[in-house]
Amino acid sequence: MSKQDLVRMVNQIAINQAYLSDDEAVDVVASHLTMFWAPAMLSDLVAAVDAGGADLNEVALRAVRQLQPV
Amino acid sequence: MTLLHEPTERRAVSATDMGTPAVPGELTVEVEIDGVAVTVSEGTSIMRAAAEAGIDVPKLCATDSMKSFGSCRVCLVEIEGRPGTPASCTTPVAPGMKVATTSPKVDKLRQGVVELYLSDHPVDSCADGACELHAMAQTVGLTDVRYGQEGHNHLNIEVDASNPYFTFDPKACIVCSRCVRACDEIQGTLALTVEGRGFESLISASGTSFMESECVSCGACVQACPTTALQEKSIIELGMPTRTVKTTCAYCGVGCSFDAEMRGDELVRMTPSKEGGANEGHSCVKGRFAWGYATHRERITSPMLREKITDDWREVSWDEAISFTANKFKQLQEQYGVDSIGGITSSRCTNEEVFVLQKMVRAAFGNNNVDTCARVCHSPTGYGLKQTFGTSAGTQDFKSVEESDVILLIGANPTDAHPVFASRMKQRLRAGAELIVVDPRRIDLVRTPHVEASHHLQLLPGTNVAIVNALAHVVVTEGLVDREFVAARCEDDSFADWEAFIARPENSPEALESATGVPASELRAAARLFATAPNGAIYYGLGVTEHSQGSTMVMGMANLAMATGNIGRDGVGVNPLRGQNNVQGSCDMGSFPHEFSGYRHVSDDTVRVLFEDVWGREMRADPGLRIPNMFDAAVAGTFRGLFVQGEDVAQSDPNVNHVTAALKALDLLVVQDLFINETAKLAHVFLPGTSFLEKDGTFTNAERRINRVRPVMEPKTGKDEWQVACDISTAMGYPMAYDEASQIMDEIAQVTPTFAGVSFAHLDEAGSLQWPVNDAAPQGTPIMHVDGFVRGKGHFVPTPYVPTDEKANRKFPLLLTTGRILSQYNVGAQTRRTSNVEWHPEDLLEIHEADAAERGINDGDWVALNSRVGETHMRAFITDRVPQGVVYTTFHHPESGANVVTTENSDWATNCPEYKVTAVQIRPANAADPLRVEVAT
Repeated sequence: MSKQDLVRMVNQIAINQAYLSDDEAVDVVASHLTMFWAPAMLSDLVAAVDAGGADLNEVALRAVRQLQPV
Repeated sequence: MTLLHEPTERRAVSATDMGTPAVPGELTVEVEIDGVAVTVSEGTSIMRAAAEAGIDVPKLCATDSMKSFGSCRVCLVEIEGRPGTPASCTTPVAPGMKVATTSPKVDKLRQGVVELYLSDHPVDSCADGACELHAMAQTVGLTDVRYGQEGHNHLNIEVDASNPYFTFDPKACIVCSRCVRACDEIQGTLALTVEGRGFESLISASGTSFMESECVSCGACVQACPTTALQEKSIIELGMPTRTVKTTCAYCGVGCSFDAEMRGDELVRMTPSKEGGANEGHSCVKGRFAWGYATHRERITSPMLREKITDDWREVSWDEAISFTANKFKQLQEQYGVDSIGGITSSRCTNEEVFVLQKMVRAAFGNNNVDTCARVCHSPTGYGLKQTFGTSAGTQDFKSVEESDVILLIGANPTDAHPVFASRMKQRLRAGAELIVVDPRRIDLVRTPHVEASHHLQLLPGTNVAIVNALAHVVVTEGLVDREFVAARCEDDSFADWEAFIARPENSPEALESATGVPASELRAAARLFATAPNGAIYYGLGVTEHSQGSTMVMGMANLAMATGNIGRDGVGVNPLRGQNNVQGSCDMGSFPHEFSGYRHVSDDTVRVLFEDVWGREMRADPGLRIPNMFDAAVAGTFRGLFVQGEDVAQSDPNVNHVTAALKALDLLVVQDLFINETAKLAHVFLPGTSFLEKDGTFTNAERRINRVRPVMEPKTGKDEWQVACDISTAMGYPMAYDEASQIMDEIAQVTPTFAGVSFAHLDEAGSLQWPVNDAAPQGTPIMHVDGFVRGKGHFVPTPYVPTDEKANRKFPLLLTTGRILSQYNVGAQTRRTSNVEWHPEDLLEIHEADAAERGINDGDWVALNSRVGETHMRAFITDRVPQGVVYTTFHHPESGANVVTTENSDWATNCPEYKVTAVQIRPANAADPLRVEVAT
């Protein structure tokens, strides 16, 4: 799946948790991804982050890091 | 004089007609009618009391779906101790009253009245037995008419056949006003009137033809007409029905019950059922009349195959089609992995068909790559209401609106998309309830005959969350929270967090005014009106869900309802108006890739074990792909095979060019449908589906009402749709078999707690049931969360407003929003194949006069509509319904392809597409210009 789409979607999830503290938001985003994203999408997202250059916001990036390894 | 016919059939409306409506109340009155004692509620008419005693008082202008009128003078009775012969329909009972419905005096009067009617009534008008007047002549014992038709009469007036579905023949009209009253009291459109006085009185569609009038063709007038003055063309052409099958409409989420009236194996009329809980005898133009698509010449009834989508279709046997499909799916999984295939269920199919298809994916495919078209409409409803209330469904029954004092209508256009519920809502508004409309467009309910919204918050597209936050801000900061309700019913902690959040200055109407475009003072007034209403109800549609913050908005509305104490009783609640007939059901049945039936996550070990025990296959604990994810994966080459049940994703889903590219990338696309739709044009296998007239099963409407769908004819394909999924599954190595659809519902009940008490037998007995149906609520649950929320305490969720990325800019300075129109349904596959196209032959682009003038566009001109993802062409319709800067269109016709321009943006939580906000530009164009231009990005 395209890196651009995955990054856009995870950033969007993170932005919508702005009412939480960063730590809480990271947990919520990671949980949301696990609950609603197919494993292949998570793998692609993690791979995109590992490859560098994924333009994730801070909360999204920390949430993706929590997912590893998928 | 031979002006009489002996009727062969009476119209269905008369069969159980009590003459006047029931009068609710606890006080009762005992009367004696024709020597029979009967006790009825105070205020009941003599006519109805007689009917309840089993005595049918002759009548023409009275019917129990409308208020008594006292026009025809046929229902005269004598009352002991009272002079004269009053009309029984307009005379209420009184204690101890003794009534004679028949006597020499009364009988003679009635005969005289009916005889006079017949003297100006065409003799041949009831040749098929459809005329109550002639039936009444027989009832009152009229054997001869002394007056000829040579005198002054109405027999030379021309028939109005302008409406495609019914005729108006003034010759047969007795001016009883039943049609006028039906248009007023049932439909609420007031398109009909009585013009002239005395003998010159005529029923008129406001001085013009029916087709040119305000008539919405709901058919209430036709059903109400006691003669053949208003009559279905199908009855004229095919004759009166000879048998009736009760079933459920296949159009919108209102889920109207109908009597399918048959003549042999041919459907001749659909009459809305008075016993139908959702519609109580009313219908719209689609449900009552637009069923001809089921036998349309373009319908495909045989399976077809082709190796490549550039090949011609080859008609094959069911065995070959199923074998080909199963083998190809297996081959793809062997080559590309178990997750390389999936399926999409349809909200136009029955619960049983949907359940079996998702079972095929989970058990035979061995993955959770199943999703439903609800993904692109109400998936945020599922997410938002589950988070806050604990279950993914609306809280009320439709009847609840009759107790509402203030209705907050957000992003919904019920008079077009849910017309039968709209009529119910209009009745309540006309009776005094107040209305707040939140919509960028001036929908009909903002101002329509006898209805005017107290507030129209005409927000900019994409700012729903800002609006709901501002409303809640006023509630919290002006001391309007229902503290007692919140303390008793909601979580202390989450309420405290939400209260602190919503009270922040950035959520004030003043702070958000520039974003929303709604004056702060107007918004504050609306908030106060809603919060202080004894019963405040929220109704919403896709104008809420189809946004980048669709789920946030659903939670915002739930917060508002809880904070104002508007949950758990009649007249209140949070009520999604579902688009398709079985959106609720398809979601209930486990169509989402992360949930089993009953909204239980696939990672729940206990639930998974339950399914594994019943289905005998190991279930995956990880969620599968959603529809947009499937398309992305197809383009990426990792998703290779897709089964599409009764959907046209190539027309209905956003960014059609992307969807088309995805479908073209598949090695196997299987489409099960009635017609070769836009998606099927890209398919390798076409499996013919069944229309609702052939289905045996259930639909679940927007109020969680499970209605039976009963076949009125055998499947024209030779196979039930659920049987096809069973056969493919079996051919793939997972045997699946049922003898009949009721067994599928039995299995649904076995594995789904909210359906535990549902069976076809129970439904047939009860008529319909609203889930949950279980030991605690064996007859169902009309109102949810009465004593407590499904999740226990109500959960508040802070809802920060995050502006969409889709913004108007110099290149694309206008915002496009999309919607539906009354006569058409979704992608139009059904309604475009009926006479409904006479009302809407093409999609139009609504544009404000100033925006049109700026671009040199005149009304009716062809325009090119382009966004960053595509371009399409349609005609302009200049109107002040839309504000400057906003344009609007419908998506019913593939030729205009509105979704060519909608984008990949979606709800953050559910990926529900952001159909309602697309930045676009418009320029004059020639009709001959190529359509659907893909824009390189």
